[in-house]
Amino acid sequence: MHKEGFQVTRMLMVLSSMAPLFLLWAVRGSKYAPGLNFILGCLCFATVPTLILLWRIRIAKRMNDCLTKVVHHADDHRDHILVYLFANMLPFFTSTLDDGREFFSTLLALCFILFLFWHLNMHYMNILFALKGYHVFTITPNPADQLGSKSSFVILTKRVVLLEGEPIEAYRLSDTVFIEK
Amino acid sequence: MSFNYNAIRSVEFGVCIDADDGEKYCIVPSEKSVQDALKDMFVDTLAELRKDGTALVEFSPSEKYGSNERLFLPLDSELSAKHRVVYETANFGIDTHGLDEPDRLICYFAIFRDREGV
Repeated sequence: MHKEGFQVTRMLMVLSSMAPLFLLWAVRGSKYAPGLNFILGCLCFATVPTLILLWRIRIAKRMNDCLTKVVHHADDHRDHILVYLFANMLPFFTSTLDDGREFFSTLLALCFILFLFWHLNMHYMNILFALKGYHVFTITPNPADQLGSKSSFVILTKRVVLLEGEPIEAYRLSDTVFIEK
Repeated sequence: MSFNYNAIRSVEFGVCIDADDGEKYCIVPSEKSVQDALKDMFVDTLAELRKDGTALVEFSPSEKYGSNERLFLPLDSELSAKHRVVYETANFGIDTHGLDEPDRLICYFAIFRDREGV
């Protein structure tokens, strides 16, 4: 079994997916950590990982890090976005960061979520992709393909439907997430 | 639709590794310079194979050959069964560490696609 690449970049992409939360915290502030440092810290977490994600896309384009993936079975996973929004983001939006225990328990919960998103390769969940009009499809490869990978992967595409057997040229964002050329 | 050798759009570099659980085929992401080198190798090999004057000789496992020979293998030959499977494979896995142990490499291959996606 090989180790998946882009460990750090994937974590930064997960952090980037939390950008709306950091922006909200920057606007709301915290009575526990008042002052500019908290706001600047939140703004930093909201922007730097997203800039690194954009940099990764740029590098993939420059190096022509492009693969042709063939659709066997495609699932449109809009429900993942709902899970992302309602199960993860909304509880954080509503939590106040006004006393020490609340502040640190929220940070701890955020760490658990970040780890899970990273571990489950859910770094494609990003409001930036939604704003740019990308749809998220999980592709299951053909199990009859003798030498091909059996692991599913994610393609971000502006197409609404993916048909079986359709080849898609896509840049590699990580070993499991691709964005159509 | 035939392949347009003058309009190669994408190159994927792959290897076959002698893994603990048997042969493993995977794509190793490569940078632009490697892709260009593979493209040059492909074009040069093709030019050599298409050179006028001498006919290609069918490969025979019982013959002894030099390091550079102009040989061919029919697609329906038993000897090319593995090549056919490799050709028909879609979605090879990706292994960024595929070249970490060169002594485990069995072979390498490249997938070329033209502007029409052939």
